[in-house]
Amino acid sequence: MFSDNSNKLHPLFDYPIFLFAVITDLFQPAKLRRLTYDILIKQILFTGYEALGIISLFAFSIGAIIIIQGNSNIPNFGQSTFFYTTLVTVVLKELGGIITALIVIARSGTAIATELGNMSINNEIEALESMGISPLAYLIIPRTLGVVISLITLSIYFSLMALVGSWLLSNFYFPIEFTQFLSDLFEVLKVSDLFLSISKSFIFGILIATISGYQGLQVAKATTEIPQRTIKAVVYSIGALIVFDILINILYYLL
Amino acid sequence: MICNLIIRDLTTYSRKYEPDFRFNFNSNDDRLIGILDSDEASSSFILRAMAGLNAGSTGSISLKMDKTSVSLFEEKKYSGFIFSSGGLLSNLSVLENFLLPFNFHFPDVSENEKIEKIEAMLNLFDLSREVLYERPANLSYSVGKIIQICRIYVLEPSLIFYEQPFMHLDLKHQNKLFNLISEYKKKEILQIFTTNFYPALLREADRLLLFSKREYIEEGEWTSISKNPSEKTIEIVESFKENGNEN
Repeated sequence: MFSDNSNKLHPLFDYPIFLFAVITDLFQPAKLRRLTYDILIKQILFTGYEALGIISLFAFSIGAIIIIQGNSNIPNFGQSTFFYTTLVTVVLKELGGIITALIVIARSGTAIATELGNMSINNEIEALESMGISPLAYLIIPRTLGVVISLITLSIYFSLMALVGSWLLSNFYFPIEFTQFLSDLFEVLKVSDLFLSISKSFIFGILIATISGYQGLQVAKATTEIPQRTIKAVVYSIGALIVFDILINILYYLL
Repeated sequence: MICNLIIRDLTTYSRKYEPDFRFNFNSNDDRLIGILDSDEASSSFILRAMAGLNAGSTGSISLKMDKTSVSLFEEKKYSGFIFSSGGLLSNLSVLENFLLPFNFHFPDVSENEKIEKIEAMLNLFDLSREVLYERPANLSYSVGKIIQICRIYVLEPSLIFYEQPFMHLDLKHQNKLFNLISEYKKKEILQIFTTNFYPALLREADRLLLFSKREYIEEGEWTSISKNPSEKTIEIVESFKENGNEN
């Protein structure tokens, strides 16, 4: 669908044009929202709810590792404000968004690319077009919204679990009440830090869903293209993640 | 609703952005029109281009009805396309596949009325309502094709495109479908098809357009074309005579 000559510019512009079309269509008319509501809910369940287990494991471990490594290298690490600054910087501002996004790429990015690739081969995309239903509106947008909502939620959840993991491990080195722990954390935490974390998750979500969706829709007629496009979806998503993480950080510290 | 299909300067482009197919068409009073090409893929390509499914095409495809005229590039409410294979959404049940276009184009129709129409259409092809709760992957090719056909018919379109309509169907259902096509022709629903067998459909057609690898050759009724085939059309004519399926 988007691999043909609907865009007469260089193929390098194919994905940016696709991304622009998705962003401008994000808020759908009621006629389509009725049809795509189920898809949105299923995407949130798959991307968000079903990933809670693995996110908990990763987050808890990261939080614990920060304490273990910190205390190994810096004396009284857990009792200094440097500890809380590290938690905010490493967990909330960076790892929360990135690790969550990597997990979403591995689970949902591949699923979206594979599913849409199969649909492309079985004439399902053309069937939607023949019914007058835009494949972009029916397939891509609810998935994008679902991934964005899930990623923001998972990223916040990751940060909370990492904090819990850090607090639990820190009790082995120096006992501290959880309320005291939170109180000391909030002295270091700024609203702009939360905003940075959420905005990163928002952008990562859009990138992952649109890159995976775009690659899935590029499948022409051979089933052998599906794994190739899925691999591209993963690789390009990871690349975009890293590039935009750097750009957002630069913007954050400049502003 | 009686309609006319008017195509002006429809142009499709190759990957190098060069025009590779140009087409003008007017259905006039003809109700059953066939597209035949020596190359099966080309006849499908032409049919899909006529239905406005070829992205990147330029030109106009207008469906003129009594008081309105719509562009097939933008509005598909009055038309339907039956694919040679596939075409059902694999992540939905058969019932959900039926209801998707129904809910999109006719949201005000009650649920009961929709189900009644769907069941009536399935009965025409001797399918039970249990099939509604199956997934397309669990269906045979034949049943899947019938579901696709029924999904279009329940919407009562004014224009129907058939891409190899008899492919995957057993003989009983081929004949049922042929009878339905003939019935719709009498009701003056515009139908455009491609086929590479079932000569009875060619004889029933008001007009056939013959192409050779997307290059237009001639048009006319089957009786006149088959009696005096030209050098370019003889291959198409002979392929229908040789398949041993003269109904």
